Amino acid sequence: MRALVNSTMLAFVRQAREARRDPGPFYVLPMLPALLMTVVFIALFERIATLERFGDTAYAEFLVPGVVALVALLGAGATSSSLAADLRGGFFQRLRLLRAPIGSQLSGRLLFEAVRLLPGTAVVLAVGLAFGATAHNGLAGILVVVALVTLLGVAFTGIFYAVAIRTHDPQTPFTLQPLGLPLSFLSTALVPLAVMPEWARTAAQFNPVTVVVDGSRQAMLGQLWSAELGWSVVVLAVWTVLGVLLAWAALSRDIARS
Amino acid sequence: MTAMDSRADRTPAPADVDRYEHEAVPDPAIEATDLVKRYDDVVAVDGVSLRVPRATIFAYLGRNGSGKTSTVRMLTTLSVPSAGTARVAGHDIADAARVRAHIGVTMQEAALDPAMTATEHLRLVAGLSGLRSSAAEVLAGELLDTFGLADAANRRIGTFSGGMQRRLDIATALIGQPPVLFLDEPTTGLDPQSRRALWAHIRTLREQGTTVFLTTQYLEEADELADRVAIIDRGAIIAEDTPEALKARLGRTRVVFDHDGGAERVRAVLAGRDVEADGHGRSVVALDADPSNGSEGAQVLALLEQVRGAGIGIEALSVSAPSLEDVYLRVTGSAITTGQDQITDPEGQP
Repeated sequence: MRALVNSTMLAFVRQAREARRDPGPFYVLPMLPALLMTVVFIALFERIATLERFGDTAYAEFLVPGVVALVALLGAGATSSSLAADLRGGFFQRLRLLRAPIGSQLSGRLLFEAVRLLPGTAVVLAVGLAFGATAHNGLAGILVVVALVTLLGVAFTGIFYAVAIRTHDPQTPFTLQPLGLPLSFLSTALVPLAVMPEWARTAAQFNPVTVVVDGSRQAMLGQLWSAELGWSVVVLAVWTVLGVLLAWAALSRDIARS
Repeated sequence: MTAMDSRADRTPAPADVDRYEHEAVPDPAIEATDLVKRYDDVVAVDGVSLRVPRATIFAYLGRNGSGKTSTVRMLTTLSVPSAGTARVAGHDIADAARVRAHIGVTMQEAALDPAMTATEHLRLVAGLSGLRSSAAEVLAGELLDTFGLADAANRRIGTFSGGMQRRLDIATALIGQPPVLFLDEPTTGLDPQSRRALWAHIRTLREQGTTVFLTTQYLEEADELADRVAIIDRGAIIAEDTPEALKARLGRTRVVFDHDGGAERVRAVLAGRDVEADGHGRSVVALDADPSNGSEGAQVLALLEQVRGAGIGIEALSVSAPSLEDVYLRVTGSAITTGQDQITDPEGQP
């Protein structure tokens, strides 16, 4: 266990160093779509809140705890690039021969995925608050939202790792980025279920992002510790486990075929 | 993960490995019996058996695609044999963690992250090998010094020349002072000066007691470095011995002479012998020196007398001792590009 922790930290530090040298893809890009949507959607669609079906909340209040999830959904997986590069360039073979558990190459990167989404999440929330969002539960609610977004990033990254391992292609983060669009738009991140067309409402009800966003919205606007938050944690835990299993299966297959 | 992979990548507790790390490596350091590797319908390695004595350099010579790398991947536990067994540093290759604790490996492509500096790279690998941070830092400095990379310690690896990357790759493989070192084509793509510098490092390692398993497609490299040479062709070892013994047994003395008789006339005079024109007006005779026919020198003189006796004047003469190139040609029938002593396959692909 100690070997796993130590090697996870070494993999984390390596990834953090790479991000420090090239901060754009790791820290700046993830926040841009969510930031843009926060500003533009509040300006353009503010009157959507006047619809009877929308409810009593102002659009900025409704939008920000949801749109912040796009930091994870449209910015996750950057660390899959270095994983693919290690596999393609042969460095991964050397890592396999070392004493450290090879799984630490995934766990260290996953940990960094969570950490690197923090600045973007904080910036989007700050801008959202400046544009009219409110945090009824104060800092505690904001911290819960931040935690949910970073965990969503970790959960979503599993599929990136599986594809990176399968293809050995460092462009994987860009290839898979469009995946985040249907997950975002067909959820309650931007508009409530009540104003969606029937087909979109059906899709959103089965979208795990809806559960996470509902938990996030409750933490900022309703009860801090809500049933929605509990379901969010369960969904994220299951999603993370499935993502890691998918990546591990891809890695096992890659090793077996070598 | 399959049971087979679990076995291959299992990592024992550090203390468990340390107990084995300081044991003396038995002789032979590497021993393989009937190793087979199949990839779907392709048999990459077809029943390879070999023994590598401790503290020697063993050259595994063959063209691209002959099965060299597949053999190395099995011996280093990176792939599981389809059949056969092997022991490395006294441990069955099925016990991957034990074998890995005793070996250093460089593969054909330098296994480096171009975004890291040399120091960062060595410290990372040392850390993942179980060394504490302070020990990793000291070791990284020592290795950079040893391999002449101290001035480039804080440069990104991506800016290194091919020779520097190779040296760093080998330095990385030496973390943990492994008693057995696998070098898969370590000098491919290097300029002659860098190759010779690497050869010097490899010889030093042998003198320090390291067993070196070296794959190469350079005949000169095998001849210069190796205590024993195995030639692999189409997945099977077709000759193995010391370079001297192979040359004595399978090599042929080459007699090259300028003459005024024309290539066809020389060939007619020396009918029954292996005579070629070299394209520069010279004839090349490959001479099987048979000890029962007298000394090699006497046989060369007799051959020249035979030519002169036919009225052909000899203007210049050179005699070269048997080389591994002769041996390789003889056992595989393949052509060799003499410019770099690099083996080419019959279709001319290097």
